[in-house]
Amino acid sequence: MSATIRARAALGLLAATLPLAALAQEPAATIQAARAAIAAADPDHPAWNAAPASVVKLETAFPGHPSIVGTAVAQRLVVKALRSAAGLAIRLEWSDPAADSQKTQHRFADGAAIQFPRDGKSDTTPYMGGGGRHVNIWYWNAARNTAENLWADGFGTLARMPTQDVKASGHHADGKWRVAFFRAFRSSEPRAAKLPATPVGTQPLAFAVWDGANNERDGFKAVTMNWQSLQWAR
Amino acid sequence: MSTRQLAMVIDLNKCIGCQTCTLACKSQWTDRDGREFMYWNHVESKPGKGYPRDWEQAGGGWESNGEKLKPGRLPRLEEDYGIPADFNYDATLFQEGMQPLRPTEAMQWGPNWEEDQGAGEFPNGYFFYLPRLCNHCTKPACLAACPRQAISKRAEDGIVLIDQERCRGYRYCVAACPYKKIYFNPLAGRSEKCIFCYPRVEKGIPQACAYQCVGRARHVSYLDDQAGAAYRLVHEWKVALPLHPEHGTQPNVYYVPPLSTSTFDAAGKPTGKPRIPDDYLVSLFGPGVGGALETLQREIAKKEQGAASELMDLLIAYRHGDMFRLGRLGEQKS
Repeated sequence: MSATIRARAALGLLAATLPLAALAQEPAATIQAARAAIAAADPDHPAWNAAPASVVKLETAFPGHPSIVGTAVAQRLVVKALRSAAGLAIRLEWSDPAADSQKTQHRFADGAAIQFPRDGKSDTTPYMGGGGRHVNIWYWNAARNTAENLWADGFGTLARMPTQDVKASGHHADGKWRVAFFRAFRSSEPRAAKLPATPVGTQPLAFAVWDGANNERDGFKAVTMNWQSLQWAR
Repeated sequence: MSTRQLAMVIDLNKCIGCQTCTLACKSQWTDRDGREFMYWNHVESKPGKGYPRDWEQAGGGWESNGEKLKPGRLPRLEEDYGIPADFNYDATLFQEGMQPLRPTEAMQWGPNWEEDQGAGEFPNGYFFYLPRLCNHCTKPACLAACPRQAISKRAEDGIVLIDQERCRGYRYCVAACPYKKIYFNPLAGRSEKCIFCYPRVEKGIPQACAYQCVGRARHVSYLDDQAGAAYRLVHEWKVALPLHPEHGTQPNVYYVPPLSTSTFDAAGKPTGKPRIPDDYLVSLFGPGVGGALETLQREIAKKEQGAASELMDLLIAYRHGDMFRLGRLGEQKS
């Protein structure tokens, strides 16, 4: 199947499963990236306590393939962001009664991801990018508890970047996952999201959460249906 | 879609369940790095739950209209595959006392768990061996199930492969395969399966399982090669049949169904009815079973009477090398 046919099929599925007008109406959250001295993916760093929290609504992603069936579990995500001279840290927190972090044949691990339009512009589709408009995805998986730096240009195209310079670490306590991501502002990876060295304005980003106990993996996930907005603190 | 299809025919009347094929495969491909539990080729005793346990009830394949995939479930390690247990070799072989060889951890299942168990009551018990591997299907459900196009079917020989660079371990293929012949490697985080020994095939060397078979039970040739055993046994003699054709994947490993001796009645007299019920064989190999068994019996009778039988000569395989025709088009010896 060619990429064009795949993209058309995916758009067909999108049109069939979602009222498009509803997408535009869903308000985007603004996430304030507060200044702090942080240079690691540490979900328990004391600086998170003072960082403003934003609540982001999650919905089941529309299926990009007939194999992807089901309703995702996670419905909301608490997002915090911190910026330091070293880079950007983002922490995701969501409810999940059980941590699924085993590497087994028949079970899936919990996961979370942050997606950025590579060029920083919000007219890139938030559904895995497409048409040459790449997205950069920072993916964390509970079985490995590390980050994968990924990119995609439409459904079924997700691939690892040659440069793995994103850090992530999570832990599960009191029925909640807290997962922190960190990347230096500058990346040598040409397909990575461009994070401004002197941050001004806003940065679009989107989120996804997988509940392994619900067999969520791949496009079976809870996502933000629109780009959210990261606001750089002055 | 592939232009040629390499096919394997396994004669179940010659398989003695020795697992040489299993070990040939395992030592070549799956003895390390998270693959210890997986057997790309194994031999199970039928009737039985098989490996993974209850694979015939685990779903997958195509709906009867051939357009939609049926749901399937993922086998579990301990209960369905069996843990790759270590054994107390040291205690048994090198220490004092008479310690029996045992797994060091409790096992619930394994790839040959029900060996020789079978079914039926004395004196009419029966079983036979069923070697199984990826069927390199003409219409692979695994390929259709993958959202990432990580699975492909090679044009030159129809071998179905999982691209380990593209696979992200979503396991839709594992669920979709009605034969449960794709295995998730938890260590690698990717799904893996029989590769029909394509690096050997490309050099004209038969698959390890087929080449090592001590019973000369496995023939390999391209389905369009009219001089090859697969074409002759599948299309000409119609004695080689696909496993569970009802799943609609059009498998390319074919089986010569097993004949069996007569049952005895209460008085101890032979009834003339085969011990392996025809219905059971039909449930495995489809409606062609009756015709295939008749042809086999007719040709065996010919041979017994000293007459020539081309079919029997083919199945006997007097020369090992005659069982394999792997030359690419144009370089085939006639």
